[in-house]
Amino acid sequence: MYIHDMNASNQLFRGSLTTIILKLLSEQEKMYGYEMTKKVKELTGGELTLTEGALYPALHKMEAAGLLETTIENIGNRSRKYYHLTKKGNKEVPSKLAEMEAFFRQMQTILNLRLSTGK
Amino acid sequence: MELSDDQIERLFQFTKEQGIHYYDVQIELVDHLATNMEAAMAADETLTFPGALKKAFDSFGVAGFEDVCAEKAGAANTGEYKMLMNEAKQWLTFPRLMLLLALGSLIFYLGTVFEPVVRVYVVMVLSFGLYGYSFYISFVGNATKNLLLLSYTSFALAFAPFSPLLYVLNVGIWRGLESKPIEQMIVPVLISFALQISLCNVRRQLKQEAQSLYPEAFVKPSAATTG
Repeated sequence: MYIHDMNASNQLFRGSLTTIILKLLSEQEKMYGYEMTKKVKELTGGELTLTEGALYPALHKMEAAGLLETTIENIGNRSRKYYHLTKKGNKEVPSKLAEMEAFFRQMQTILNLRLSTGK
Repeated sequence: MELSDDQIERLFQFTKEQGIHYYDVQIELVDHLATNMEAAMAADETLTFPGALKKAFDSFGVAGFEDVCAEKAGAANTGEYKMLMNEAKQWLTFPRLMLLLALGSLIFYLGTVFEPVVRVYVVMVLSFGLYGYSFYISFVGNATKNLLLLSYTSFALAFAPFSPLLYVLNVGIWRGLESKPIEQMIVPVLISFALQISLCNVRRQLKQEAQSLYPEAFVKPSAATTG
């Protein structure tokens, strides 16, 4: 029986936040926080939610690590902070994606093995 | 539906009530809340401002803004530490290393040509000069709003100038001006000067970054339209 556990999915999802943010920003030159949460919701058809409580700490960590830089733009009666990839961040994209792909392959292997022994 | 200026101001007030006192953190949270609320209010026209705010704030989870601010503070601290280390490493390379060695030699030479106590006076004058520079960097043209980006260097700079001065006081007052040859302590004094200049440079770079990102945070209160 397949049980869809959104909390469990979100926990797995949190561990991949850096890769997701890098990927989003590699496809779009600049994005702001709310836009990222909306984009992830759109891409996953609402299945996964990128919570603000997880997103902003991840963004700030990545900024401190030199992967992201920010600019502020005035949008009417408030300011908006946009995130961009730095040169270092751009270089990181392929390696992070490859790392994630390798991880999925390994997980697949492990899970398949377990499934076959469980027959 | 776009939020009014007054509603945006209420959101700034709300972030303050939630314990966020740094302007550079507030503006991101206010924009996030406002964008979320505008979308929610456009989708449901019966939704009120307080209702939309509650909904938008709930999306930050049980910790509210706490995690966001804590992580931002940690990231800022790490970033500034890295900048300071990079600045400090410059003193081990040309031309700064040569300048430092030249300064050390000059202080030593002055003590041999004149009285040894002259070295103490030179260190004292340089310490006061650096203290003035630190003071200028720390307080002149500062932001009128609290900025997390500048909070760590403010703290560090408040203590930095005292290290060479403490040495001078130690030599000059407690032990007698000539009793301890300054060349015994010349390396720690030079290291202290180098670190202090590095700290001032980091502070200057951060201030420039803050001025370009948040020019409104440097507007004097009399000229500012909002708090």
